[in-house]
Amino acid sequence: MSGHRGRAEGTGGASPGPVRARSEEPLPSPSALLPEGAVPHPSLGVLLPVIRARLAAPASVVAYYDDAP
Amino acid sequence: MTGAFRQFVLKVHSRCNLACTYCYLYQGPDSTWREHPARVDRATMERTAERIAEHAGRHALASARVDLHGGEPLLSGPEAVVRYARTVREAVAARAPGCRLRFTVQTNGTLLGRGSLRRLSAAGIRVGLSLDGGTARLDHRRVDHAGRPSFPAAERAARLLAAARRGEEPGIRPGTWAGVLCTIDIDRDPVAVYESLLALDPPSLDLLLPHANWTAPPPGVTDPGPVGRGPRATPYAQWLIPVFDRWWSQGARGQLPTRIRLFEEITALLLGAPSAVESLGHSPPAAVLVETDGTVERVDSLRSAYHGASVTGYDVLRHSFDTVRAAAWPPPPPAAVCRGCPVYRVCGGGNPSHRWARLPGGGTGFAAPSVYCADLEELIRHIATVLAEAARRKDTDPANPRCTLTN
Repeated sequence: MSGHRGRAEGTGGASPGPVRARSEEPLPSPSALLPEGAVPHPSLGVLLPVIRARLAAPASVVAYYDDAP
Repeated sequence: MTGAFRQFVLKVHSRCNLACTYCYLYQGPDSTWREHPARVDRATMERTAERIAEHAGRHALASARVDLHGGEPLLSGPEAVVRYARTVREAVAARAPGCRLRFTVQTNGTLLGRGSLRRLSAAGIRVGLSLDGGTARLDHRRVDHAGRPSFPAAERAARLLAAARRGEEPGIRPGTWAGVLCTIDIDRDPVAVYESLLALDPPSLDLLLPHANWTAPPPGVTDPGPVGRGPRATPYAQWLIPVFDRWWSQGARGQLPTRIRLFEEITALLLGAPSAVESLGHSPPAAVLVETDGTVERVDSLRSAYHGASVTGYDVLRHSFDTVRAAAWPPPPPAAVCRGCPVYRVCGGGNPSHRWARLPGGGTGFAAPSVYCADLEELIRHIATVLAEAARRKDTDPANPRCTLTN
């Protein structure tokens, strides 16, 4: 269990939670998130081949639709 | 608009045997589905296949996705799905032999027995299951028209697909299961939902924000506040972040237990790569939809905005997909506030369907931030923080080679 107010048994009555302020802080740059020569987190290591393939051929990437009506 | 369609969403059957409590298609503002025949006929299949082949040949497509949808596509039985796929495959082989097609049927799983699965698998059609949780209680919103739960039948389908994945179902290829599409229910514990679905062993898991907009707010949000990028509660980020943290931590041994597209796409975008989903980032849209009568439409999710939102006025009998794309495919422009937002390079304004609003200047349109803007920002910043913390760590794992984004 996560501590989230939702429940496995779904007894309802969830509240939307506290109001969050918005930030104008820029997102970290890609190079800050994976510095050259850094050892990636193992989870990121799993994702890197696909990410690298996209970086090598960005024009070939299109946005697919996935939905479940 | 330049470019080509690379994903064809084909309606096999436009009715559903379920009445999910949150369904935007049959319980939302759009009712154009009533105007379409329940089943696609053979002539429409053939004409659609010819148009796809024409498009693939004209654009020399190396690959394309064909998604067989409903309603519930298996209401016509597996043979109709197989026939549609075969018709498209034959037409494309004749006119665009270099184009590799990937077929998937998206189903609620209730009609998916061993015989159906063998038939689909033999035809090279993968199966995507719609399932909101891995127990009856977590999946409680997916019910039939009499209110009976669909979970027992859907679970049987999931277990068959999982057994096939392990090579334990003769006649069903291990790669037949495409994955699970799960629409988020914030009234359920997120990690319980995630772990219960993981127990079914799907190869991928898509966590979908329920289709909503500024005039029809998300479940659990009674008032989204003024249209724009203002302070607001973030119940969907609060739901997703524990799932991300659990999933991310499970990659500690160099493998992730399943793919979760939402998190993978945000990670890719943060690292500067383009996205492959329409709900994030800035990549050109790939999808077009063909109804059971051959009318060409924009994607179904737009129907959650207003009656007729997906209609183009074109059809495969009279119009090529190039004609449709050139004349009827303006993507919704981003809101002005989005263009100046520090998160825009990742969120891309969010799912177009979620931007529908009564605009401050009057009228209605899609030129608003996503109604999930605050949730998306919080999730994206959380993932950025996790990546940044990992990058700062000095400890190294000798099992993982040193690397850069480009090696």
